[in-house]
Amino acid sequence: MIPGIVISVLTFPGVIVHEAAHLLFCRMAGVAVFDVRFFRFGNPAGYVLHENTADFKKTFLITMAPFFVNSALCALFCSAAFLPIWEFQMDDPLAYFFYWLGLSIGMHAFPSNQDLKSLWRLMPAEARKSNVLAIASYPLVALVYVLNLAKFIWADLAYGIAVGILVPMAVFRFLA
Amino acid sequence: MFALDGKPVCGACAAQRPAEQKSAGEKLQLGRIVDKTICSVCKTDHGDTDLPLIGGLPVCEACAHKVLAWPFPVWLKAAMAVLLLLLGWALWHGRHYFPAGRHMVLGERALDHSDYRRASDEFTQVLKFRPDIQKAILLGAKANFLAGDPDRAMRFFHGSAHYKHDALYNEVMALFKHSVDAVSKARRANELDAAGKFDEAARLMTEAAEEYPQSQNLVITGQLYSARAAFYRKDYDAALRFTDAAWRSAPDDPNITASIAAALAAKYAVTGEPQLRAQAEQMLEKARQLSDRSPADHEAYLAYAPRVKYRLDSRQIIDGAEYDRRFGKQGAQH
Repeated sequence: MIPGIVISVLTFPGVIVHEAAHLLFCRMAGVAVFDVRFFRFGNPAGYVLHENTADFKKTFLITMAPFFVNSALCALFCSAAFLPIWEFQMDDPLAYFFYWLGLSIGMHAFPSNQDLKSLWRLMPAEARKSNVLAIASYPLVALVYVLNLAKFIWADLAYGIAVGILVPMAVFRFLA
Repeated sequence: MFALDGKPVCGACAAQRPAEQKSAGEKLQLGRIVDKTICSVCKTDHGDTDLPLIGGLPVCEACAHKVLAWPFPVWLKAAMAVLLLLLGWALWHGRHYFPAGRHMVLGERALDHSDYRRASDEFTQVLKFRPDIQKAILLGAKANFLAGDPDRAMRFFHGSAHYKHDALYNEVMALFKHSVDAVSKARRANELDAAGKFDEAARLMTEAAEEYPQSQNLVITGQLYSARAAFYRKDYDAALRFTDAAWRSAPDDPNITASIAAALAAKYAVTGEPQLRAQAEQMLEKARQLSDRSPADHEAYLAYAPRVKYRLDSRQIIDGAEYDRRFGKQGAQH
């Protein structure tokens, strides 16, 4: 088993982008932030300590921010490097660098289970109020929760690779 | 500071005692004691003054602004700017690959739809970008092998000398082997045909076609060889059946159309059914129209048409050699 800290160091851009996404959405939602660590040699490798809000939409955005931001950046970087690496299987060091960057960011797309619990707590009441976002959140949150639990079998890396391959593949097939 | 069943305890006790009590069967209420005079952010003790709560935590006036709009550090802003520049660079770097990638996708799509000519052209475009892209080489070769054009398939291999032995490579090599074996059998069948061993030639050519069924040429030649062998066995029904099968694969070929006319004429010669004669004349006329497209085809038509007409008029079935002996050399059609 490779220690988590080693993985965090090897994929540090993803940790920083993850926390930056949390912070950005905290600020956009006007939620108080008490402490931030963008990267550290420890567990967790980064965190944003913010107030708990009862506003479901704000909680959803803050919790899921890294999932959307990291996934999008992963897809973009990997799309730029997908063709030389996967389609043409060429030795292009720059493409490999961009792919590493994309994968590093994509690997840290999952919100922590702590964040998910805050969201999960608010979901039933909101769903009862027919909040569409809350209802739609159930499968997404459940999926991310399961993937989070499966991190020990490299679900985070698998997710990064899946986004880094499937999204560019779908985009190229659609645009061609 | 923490509260354990309402009593203040330090952090270490708060971590240890609930577990001890739980193992003893008791459950304690644990909570954090918030001192409203100490700022949660800067930890400054403000004496007896209660601080305003933000998000449930006391925050001093100096920290309040920071808490409500936590600043992005300069290094983070710089890092994000670098990240965006890298993204721009990555897309700029990838721009060379995008057109080639598009041709690759279009080629694969054409291959999936069995549009082998289009697929071959698309993979050729990919290889103009870089001639050693294994996937494009192999898929281009595969498209041409499946189109029954092994010569064109082999031209795709000129771009690279080394290949990774993956599933696609093995698939294309299997097609290559089938095509080589089939061509080898077809050459031997040609030699047997030239030597007048029509049954053996037909059997071997049929084997070649079965070995490499993607080659329409081999399939049709196999059928025509079988028709010829049947003709010399005087099995005119089989001759017509094989020729008809070949004609259905290539209805615009004037020579095969004429072969149908010759086979129908042979059946007419045996049965005398006027309907067969009418069909033979109809096919001969069609062959004439088709042969007008090229001088070589027209010359061939002029060679075989008199023989077919002779067969219809005389109801005598003689082969090309006998016809030439009687009336002078005009061609080699049966």
